[in-house]
Amino acid sequence: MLELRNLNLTKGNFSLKSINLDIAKGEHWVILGPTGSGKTLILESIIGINSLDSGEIYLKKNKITKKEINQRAISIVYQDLYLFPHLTVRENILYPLKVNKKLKDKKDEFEKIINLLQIEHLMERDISNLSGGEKQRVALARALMLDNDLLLLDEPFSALDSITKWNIIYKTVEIFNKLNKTIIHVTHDIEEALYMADKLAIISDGKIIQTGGVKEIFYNPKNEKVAKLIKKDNLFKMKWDSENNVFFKNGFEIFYEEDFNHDYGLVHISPSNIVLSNKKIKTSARNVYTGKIQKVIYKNFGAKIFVDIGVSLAVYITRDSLNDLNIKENKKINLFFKTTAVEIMG
Amino acid sequence: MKDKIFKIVLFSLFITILFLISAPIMKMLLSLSPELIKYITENKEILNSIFFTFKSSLFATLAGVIFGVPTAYILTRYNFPFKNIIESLIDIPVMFPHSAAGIALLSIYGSRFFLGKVFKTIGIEFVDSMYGVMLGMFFVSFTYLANSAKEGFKKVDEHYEYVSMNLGASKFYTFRKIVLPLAFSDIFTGIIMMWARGLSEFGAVVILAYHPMTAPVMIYEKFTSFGLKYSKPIAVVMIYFSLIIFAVLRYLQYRYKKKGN
Repeated sequence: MLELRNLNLTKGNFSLKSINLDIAKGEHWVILGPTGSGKTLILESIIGINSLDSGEIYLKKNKITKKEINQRAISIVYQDLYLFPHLTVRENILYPLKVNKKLKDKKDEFEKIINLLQIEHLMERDISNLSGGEKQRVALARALMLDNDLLLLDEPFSALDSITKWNIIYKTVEIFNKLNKTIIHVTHDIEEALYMADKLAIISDGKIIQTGGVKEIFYNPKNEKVAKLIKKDNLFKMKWDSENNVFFKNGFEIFYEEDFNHDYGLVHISPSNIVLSNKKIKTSARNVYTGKIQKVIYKNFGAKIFVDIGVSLAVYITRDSLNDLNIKENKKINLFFKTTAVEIMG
Repeated sequence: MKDKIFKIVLFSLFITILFLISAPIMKMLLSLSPELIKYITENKEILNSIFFTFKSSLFATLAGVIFGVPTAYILTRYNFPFKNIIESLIDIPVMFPHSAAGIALLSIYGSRFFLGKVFKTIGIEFVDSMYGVMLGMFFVSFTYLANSAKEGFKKVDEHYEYVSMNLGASKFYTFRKIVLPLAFSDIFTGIIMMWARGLSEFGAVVILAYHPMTAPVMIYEKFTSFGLKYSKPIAVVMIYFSLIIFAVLRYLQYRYKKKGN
């Protein structure tokens, strides 16, 4: 559907470097990267806002690199939506029909789209009278009116509060499943990326550093940068002691059963696989520690707590465990995990 | 205590300036009397001069819109060499004495000079003509419209244009239907400012086109020839007309803004 071939672009002090992507019809790609990594610049190059220094863009095998914005047949929804504030909701959504003569007979499409997005009741409203979620749906409806096969989403949920955001994400995924569009979606939110993507492209400093399926990248991040982006908690660069089969750092040691052939390893300990206990208990687990609870962050599933054991280790616990163990800050606690909870990244 | 003193100083300054500005205006407005109205209505040259002033300033402002809006848009959206110098150039006419502006205009648009000769070939002469009055008004007030329109365009995020074009609109359609309406309030402020500035212009106009006489020139002439008694009625009527028209324009702008919000 879309091929990006060796795109290079410098804008101010920032450069996109050799961007290559092959996006097949119907796939939902998420370009994931921190703020300022060049995600939006890629989208703006695809729709034709930025002229490339070099490289080619092909849409359905046709070269579109030099085409004007209004000739590219690619839709975009921005984070800030850019709904025209002086037009009503209806006028905003019908704008593409007004400016594209060939779409004039697509009035049926309008009804279909507003029904699908459940925004029939908003039609005569001013944009300023809409909630964040409503604006989101209106912007999506406007983009869908073009009936382009390729839809670009630039951090579309970033401006929403977390409850609205997830409601909209669930709804959007439902809608996308019905539409069979090819989607490129950029975000810095790992949860959103993992939930929505078929494929991921990880970007850092203007370079795509890894592409692949969600599972593949999640379990096999190519390097430290990708690992840090995907797994924010319990990722440590540690020295390997091959004689004792332990990784160590600042007095913190992790026993690891498998062979390892490097001096250093990027070690991840799954926060869900760490067990807490008030008493010292007998266990077959090789990694047993005592530490102090530094911080408790309450979550829907229970809590994420940080325990100081020489390093700060994140542990996810359920609501029941939170009560049973009487978890509170500054309390001493025992924790252990099996070697199977240890992953070596990159 | 310090905060209280600060507030007292703040409000004292505020009230003082309100008084200093409103006192002469109020004095003029309160001067309106049946005798003054009779005097004005009996002197057709005064009314003609006032209407001529409003008309000339309106045409100068229309020319300002035609040239100023595209200029402002270019200066906001495009980068090119010497852009800062060009921006300063547009500001210059309000910075030097307007009589000097009149001399400058006369030196190039006068019938013996280059542009004067060029325009003469198409039947336009500036010295002592309505075109001269308009040119004088245009030259000293264009800056207000251009700068206000620039502010308006700056407030319109460029992404609105990208989105409009992404939805299939041409650049021109986008400019007409998206950018102009969104920047309109500031452009309209510029229009009001330019028209108002044009109405009050004396220095440049008096040098380039003493005749046909605009109201400010007539006020000056009556004052120097016959004294305050004969110049004041023109000034009073001018102030009334100006206040009524600008109140209406500001109200329309307020309605437009309210609708936009």
